Amino acid sequence: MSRFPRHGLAGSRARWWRRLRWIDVLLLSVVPVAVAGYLIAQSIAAFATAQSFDDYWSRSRDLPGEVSARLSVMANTPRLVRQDRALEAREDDPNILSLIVPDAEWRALSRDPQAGFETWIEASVAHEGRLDPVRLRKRGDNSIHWITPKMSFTLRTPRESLLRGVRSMGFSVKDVIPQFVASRVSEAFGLFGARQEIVPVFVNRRFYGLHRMIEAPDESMLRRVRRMPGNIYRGDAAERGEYFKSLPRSLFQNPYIWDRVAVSDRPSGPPSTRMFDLLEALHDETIESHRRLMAIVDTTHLASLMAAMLVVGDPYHMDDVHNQLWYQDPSNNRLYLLPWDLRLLDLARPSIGVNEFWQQALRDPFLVDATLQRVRLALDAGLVAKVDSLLAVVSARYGPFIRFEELRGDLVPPIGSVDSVRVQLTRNLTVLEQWMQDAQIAYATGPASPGLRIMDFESRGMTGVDLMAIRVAGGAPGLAVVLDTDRNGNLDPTDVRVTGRWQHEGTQWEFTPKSPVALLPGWSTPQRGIAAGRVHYRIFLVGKSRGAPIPVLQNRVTGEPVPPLSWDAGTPIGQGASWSPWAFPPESPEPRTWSGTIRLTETLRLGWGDTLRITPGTTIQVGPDISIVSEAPILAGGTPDHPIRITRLDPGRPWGAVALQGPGASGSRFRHLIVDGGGGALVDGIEYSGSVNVHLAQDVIFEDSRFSANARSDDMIHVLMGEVVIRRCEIVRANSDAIDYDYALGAIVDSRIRESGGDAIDLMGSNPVIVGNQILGSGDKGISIGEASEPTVLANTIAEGYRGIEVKDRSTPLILWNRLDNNQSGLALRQKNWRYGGGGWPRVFGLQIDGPESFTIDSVSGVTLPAPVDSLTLNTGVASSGIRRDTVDRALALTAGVALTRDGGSPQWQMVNPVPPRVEETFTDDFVPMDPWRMVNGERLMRRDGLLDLVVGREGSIAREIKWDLAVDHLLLLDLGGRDLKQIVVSIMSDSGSVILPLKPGRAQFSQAVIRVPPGRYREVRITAVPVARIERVQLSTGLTDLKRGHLFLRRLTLVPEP
Amino acid sequence: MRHSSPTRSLAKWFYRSERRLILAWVLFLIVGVVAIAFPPIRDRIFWRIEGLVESREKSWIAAVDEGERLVTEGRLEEAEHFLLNLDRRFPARTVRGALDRDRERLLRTLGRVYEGQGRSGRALVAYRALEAFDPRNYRNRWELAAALERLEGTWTFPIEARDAYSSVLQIYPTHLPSLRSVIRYDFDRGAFANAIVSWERSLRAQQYLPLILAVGSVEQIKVVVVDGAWHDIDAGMLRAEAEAFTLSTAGFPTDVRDVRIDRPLYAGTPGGRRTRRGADGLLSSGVGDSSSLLSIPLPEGVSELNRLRLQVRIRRPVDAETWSMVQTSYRNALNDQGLEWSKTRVVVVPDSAQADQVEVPA
Repeated sequence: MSRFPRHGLAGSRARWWRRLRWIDVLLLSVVPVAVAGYLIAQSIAAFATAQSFDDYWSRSRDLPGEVSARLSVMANTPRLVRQDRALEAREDDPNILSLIVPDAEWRALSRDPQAGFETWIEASVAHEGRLDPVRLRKRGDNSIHWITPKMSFTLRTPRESLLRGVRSMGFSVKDVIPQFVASRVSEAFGLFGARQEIVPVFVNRRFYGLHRMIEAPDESMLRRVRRMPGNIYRGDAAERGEYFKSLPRSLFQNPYIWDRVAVSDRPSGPPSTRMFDLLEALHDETIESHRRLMAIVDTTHLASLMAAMLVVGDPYHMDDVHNQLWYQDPSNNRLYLLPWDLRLLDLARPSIGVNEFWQQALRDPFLVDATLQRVRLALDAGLVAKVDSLLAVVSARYGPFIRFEELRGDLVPPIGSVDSVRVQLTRNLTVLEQWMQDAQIAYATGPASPGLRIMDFESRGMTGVDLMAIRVAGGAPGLAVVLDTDRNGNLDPTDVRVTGRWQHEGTQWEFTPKSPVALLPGWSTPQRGIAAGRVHYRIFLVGKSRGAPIPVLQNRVTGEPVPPLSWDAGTPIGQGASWSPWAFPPESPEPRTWSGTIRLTETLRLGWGDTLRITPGTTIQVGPDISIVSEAPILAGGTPDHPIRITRLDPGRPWGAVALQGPGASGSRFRHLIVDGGGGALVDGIEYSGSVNVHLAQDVIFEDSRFSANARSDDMIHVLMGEVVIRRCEIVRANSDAIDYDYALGAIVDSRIRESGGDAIDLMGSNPVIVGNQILGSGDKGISIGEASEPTVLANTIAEGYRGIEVKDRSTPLILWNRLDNNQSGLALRQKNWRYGGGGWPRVFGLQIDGPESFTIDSVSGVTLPAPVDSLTLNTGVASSGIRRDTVDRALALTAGVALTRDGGSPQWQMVNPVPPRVEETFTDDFVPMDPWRMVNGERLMRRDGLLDLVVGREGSIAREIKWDLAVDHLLLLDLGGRDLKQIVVSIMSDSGSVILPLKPGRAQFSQAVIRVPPGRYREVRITAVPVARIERVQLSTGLTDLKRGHLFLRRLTLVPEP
Repeated sequence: MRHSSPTRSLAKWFYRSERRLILAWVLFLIVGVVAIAFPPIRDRIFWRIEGLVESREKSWIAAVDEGERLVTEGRLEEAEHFLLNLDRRFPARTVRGALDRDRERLLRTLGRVYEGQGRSGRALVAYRALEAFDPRNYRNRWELAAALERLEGTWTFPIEARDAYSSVLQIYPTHLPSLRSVIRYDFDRGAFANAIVSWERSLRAQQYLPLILAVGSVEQIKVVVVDGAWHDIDAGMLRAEAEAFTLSTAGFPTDVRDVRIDRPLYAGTPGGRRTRRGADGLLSSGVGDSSSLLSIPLPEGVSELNRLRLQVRIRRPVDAETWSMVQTSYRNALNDQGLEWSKTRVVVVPDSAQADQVEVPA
């Protein structure tokens, strides 16, 4: 018998059941029920919000998705909380954006999806212990940017306090990692455009989301990428609020829905109607209009852009209705399509086709060919390794933030993943490898008549072939190879005969053309994606041959042999959309020689491939407003006794301009030239603001020449994105500036510049060497160094002018042994243009100033002085600028008061190839994280105003890893500064010991330390700062005293081989 | 304290039924969990809720329809009250909202209500709100301009209306009704030079028309500028067979000439490209019918072709009233050259409605 009662278990159950009360059940269940109810209510609200928009993102939302996104976040909540605690808004990290926004306004902005697009919210950015004011508003063209708990926004700063060097920028939530990588791929192809960075954003000290920072595409961006300010036309009319209802939506069919985000309306500049020209040329069907179209754009740039777009698999998103940004370059009046909003897609699975512009542009077989060549070049240059390294950096740097975003799941827009980016890029590169291998060419041959044979080729692959040779059994060498260049199928006198030579081996003869005949590919674009098109080529073999000719073909991209595909004779040949390369008229260079007296009464244009020689003693009389514009080299070699003159035909009215336009004019030489009375011109939409102009041409030299009395125009000599040497020239009475270099290189040597109306030498973003010039009586500056220029200015005398030298706007020249005599003011350092976010900062050695106001500096400028002055420093500085060492003695002599003379006419310095620094590091204000420098100890390490700033209360140091394997002696140059420091110690550590240089900060704020580094293998540079002990200061706000901190500033690090 | 008898009986009932209530609640929870956990049920529930949300969105459209109906029936007071109330609650507060077109309809209807009531000030406020809601919609600009002309003018055409018409021409420079109004304003004041400037600016504006060219089963779109000049069209194709080809011209007066047909070359086979000329002379389309097709016969005996070349000229239709003002302006300005130039670019039609309806498809 059991000791347990019958139904004991049931009895306990019954007791439990009897004791259970309604309130217990309610209390037990209310929390999960409430949570579930809240979750569903929130999901319904989110779904309803999405339904109030009708773009692709909102239409892709559904209620089950909303619920499951919230469930997933709920499940991840503990991990999210832990992760959130680990994310710190480090204000000293330039890569992090820490926003401080009034709570109420931020909540209002987040809650109402339709609010906040027009009105700005006043906010601040916390950085390095201070709050910088910014304004903020919502951004984005569709609801992905504003209906989730993580929204996109635009920031704008006041002009006087840029944020990491940028004034206006967007922070986008969309496809953060893939689009960042896509932007870096476009940079790897040498394309310029808006900068993008991945930036962790904190709002009111809490992590808000990982965003993609996008610089505004405006004039500031153009200056950053060293492009002349010009128009940027924007076509962005895709979504509500942006498109023009009831009007044609295609941007390429409606020029009135474009606007300009950078505006250049100089009265004398090019007209702002270049987009109209583009659209007009786009919709005409003749080869002439196609050539006009391709002359409006830059085909090299387009090939690079298409190559980059293919690599990222997205030649589509810059489409007919949005993402169009075209920059009109004033230097050549061409349009450059800027990469914008490139996504990372699968190239093998296109969803749409390319836009109308690309459909027309890709009819050009030269562009198609250049595109794949560009891809090949990039791959050979290590594109894959670059992307791999970038992805590794992204993974390491943003790992915790990426994990946090992953835990949020579908609640916020996906940021993409490093792995999927790698996989997608690899897939696309595989597809492109296949394209490059795809050199299909069909071949058919047959006799046309006795002694005439037809060879028909049809390019059917993505890449083209070169016809390397034709093999014929018997009959040669009398055979002629003729291209059917008029493409009428018949042998005509106008068809072009191929030059080459016949060789034979037994009875087999082989014709090898002088240069291979390119059978370029065509791409078909009207359908979805890009596919291989067809281009037909007919070649005639004239003369008796016994057997059928066999072509020897080679892939144009890979160089591999290509067997032709068989093609049934008699098959009709289709007419593809691509232009035949033979439809383009061949270039016919025209050499010209001028002598005696030449009278120009209409503007002369020399085309690419032409040449113009001007013999000594020639006089060129140029009519009013008439110009010479040359895309070809001009060789004007006068002699002292028989100079070449360019002068006015009508003494009372100036002629236009002499212009070397484009790289075709490279190598031009002018010697003993006398130029008088020019006036500048606007020719073919290009403004020539000088009497003599060099745009985009390299290796141009003016020697022993005289330029005088220009009228009307800004400059006497204007160099724009070129490389020009002006040597032993005399420039007198310039209307405004005598020599103007914009984004240019070269040298101005041993010249005399007198009585200029404006600056004698005016630099914008230029780095020429300016040596041994005499500048007298300038109406404005002797040398004006602006807009991030970095010239070397050596041994010049500047006298009797308004101002000797002015350095401004982030320019960092090396100024060595110059004399400034009797100018109203000597050296001025200042900020002029806010877009550069800083003043001038020269390195100055041995400057003699004699005048009323010797030196002025504003609060944002600085100067580096030597400590101590030694010839070693000078040698090093000038060597990297391309000046030979023997200049030192002469320069030192100048400081001793020796007059600036030449000995027997031969210069005492020579321009040589610059010795490039092995390592050069400067610190720009941007969103890039601070590595490789790290703080070993100290209170705070910041990067601001172009320098690293280590704050120390007691001894502290910064260090960076290096991998220097030096075989010869090198010099390490450090631009160092300090405040309230007792000592600075620089150590360079190697496996076998260290090089140590103790320094005592002098009175000058910055000085250049030079350290000789013997051969060896080095692994770390470390800079240690020791503050002055016990300096106290009283805080004005509290009245309390605290210890004053010391500051170590590092501005530049350069490692050069010892000259 | 004594409870009242109903409370007591309720309490009694509660205690008596507590087990059952607990069971019901637990059952309810189980059903809820099962419903959520079981996908077919869950999806049905969610779809139902989605349907409710979507029908709520649609109800706004129905509400605007209702407002329009009230106006059509002449119940203006009622319509005003209804539309104002709707305007306050309408979900599309900015043009980004999905119901932006309905918001435009609402504001337009409200303007009509006030106009019907003779309250021109309020009507203009409504039309200005309409224009401000989406200034990129030229029709909103045009509504405001027309309202200004109707409501602000006494016996003269107000300058505000002219400026508003000009603002239409800024984004739609070939909009004939606005152009007509701007020209009329200057014409009425004897400012013939201004009238000519407006006319020529509009005539020079780039306008592109996508022509659909069809040869047999092959169809290609060729975009041609509407400028009264002859333009080459070159349609390459692999192979097509047809007796005629057609051009759809969207009602623009279109002329075709110099038709040439290239027959294909044959691989490895002698014989040059054979070109046949098509019908001689000029073939012209009518004006106004947007669905009209211009059919051009191919020469007899052409069985196949792989390239079609022709020249096309597209002109703009202009109504007789506008053309009369333009002609007079040119003559008064002694600018015969300009008039001759204009004649090459336009086709005059008697009816302004016929001319106005010709637009490039959006």
